[in-house]
Amino acid sequence: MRSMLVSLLLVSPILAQLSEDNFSAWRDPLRPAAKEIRWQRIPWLSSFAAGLRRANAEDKPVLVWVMNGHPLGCT
Amino acid sequence: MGRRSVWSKEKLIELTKKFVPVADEVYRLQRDAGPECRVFRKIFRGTEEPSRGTMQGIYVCTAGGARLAGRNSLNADLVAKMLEGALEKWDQLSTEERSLPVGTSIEVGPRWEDSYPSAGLVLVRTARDLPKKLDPAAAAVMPFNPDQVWFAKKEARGFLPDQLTPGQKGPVSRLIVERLTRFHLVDNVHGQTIPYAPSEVTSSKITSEVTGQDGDLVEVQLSGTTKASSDKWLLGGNYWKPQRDWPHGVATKLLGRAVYDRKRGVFTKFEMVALGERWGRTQLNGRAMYTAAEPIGFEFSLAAKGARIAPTFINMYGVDWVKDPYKQ
Repeated sequence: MRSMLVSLLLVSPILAQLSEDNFSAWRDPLRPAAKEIRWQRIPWLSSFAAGLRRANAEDKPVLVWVMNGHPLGCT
Repeated sequence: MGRRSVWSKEKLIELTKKFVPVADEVYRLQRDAGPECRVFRKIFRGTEEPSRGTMQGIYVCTAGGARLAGRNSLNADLVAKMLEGALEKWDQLSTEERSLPVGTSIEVGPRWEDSYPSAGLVLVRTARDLPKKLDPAAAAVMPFNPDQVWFAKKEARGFLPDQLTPGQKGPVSRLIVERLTRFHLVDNVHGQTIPYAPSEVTSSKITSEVTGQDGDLVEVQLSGTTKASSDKWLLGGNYWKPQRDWPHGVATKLLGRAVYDRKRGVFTKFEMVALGERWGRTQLNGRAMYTAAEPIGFEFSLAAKGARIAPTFINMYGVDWVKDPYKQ
């Protein structure tokens, strides 16, 4: 394990970056900021069928957003 | 993330309140034989026949099956105009025209989401490009992409040493290390990529150490390295099989902190960061011009309850608790 880590550290400075001391400093900017996930303020249902059912019950049109990969997950 | 940015505009957020907003994965809807997939194609394509071309986009319809609008755009003004036009059409429809015919129901076929591990560990993973200067403060503006990570309850226990007393240390289970490295520490920041084969996971080891205890709550620290590197496709014929080989890889150093409630057998806190580098490209991951090694970061934390979105590579997990909807 030690030799493996040493060899990786020699490859790239990024692999030497992370430590207990700077864990939070890296964690926070990796997480999406509120402005980056404003689209989550919209109460998306996660399946087309669920949308049709609710639209029928609430007498509203269905807005359908579809992508390769689930839009609420990894696209 | 730019693909989602259209929904960040205040005007659009307000407009969506007049609709039932739905987000769904299009490949299944455009190709599969399930009832809601056929309804989707009937409404938006005019035929129940599967579509070979992508149907990605934004559409509006009635529950009764009338198409009101549709386009594929990231331009918020154009999308707003489309939604307003759809509302005008909606207002002209009778109740009968808007609604499902009496006695009709919308059936849902089996989905990967049906295997959601309610009692297990569900994480959100964020993958993000990192600046070459390796400045954390500059990382926040870099592109990112989320994914879900699922572990059954019995699998999640593998994040912990056998003995849950302070000072105890042990390796995180091979299943967990492989799942993370093959499916989640992958370069899909800019678009979908392909999974790694087990044999492409090398130099990967994560250690867990109990660092504290407060009643039934056990604090653990995670540390390790991961590496996956692929020269050729080794996973046979499946949904992800690329048209050619794509040399690519990811290596990371990883640290994490978690709190495990041993009485309930659940994690009450989980945060893990992996920093490393990616190299090469795959067909759709947007790296055509950037195949040299560059920094990449990953962050994992507990998902919100009820966020039942299946992990991208759920069909490759290969465990008995994940039920393949295509074999039911």
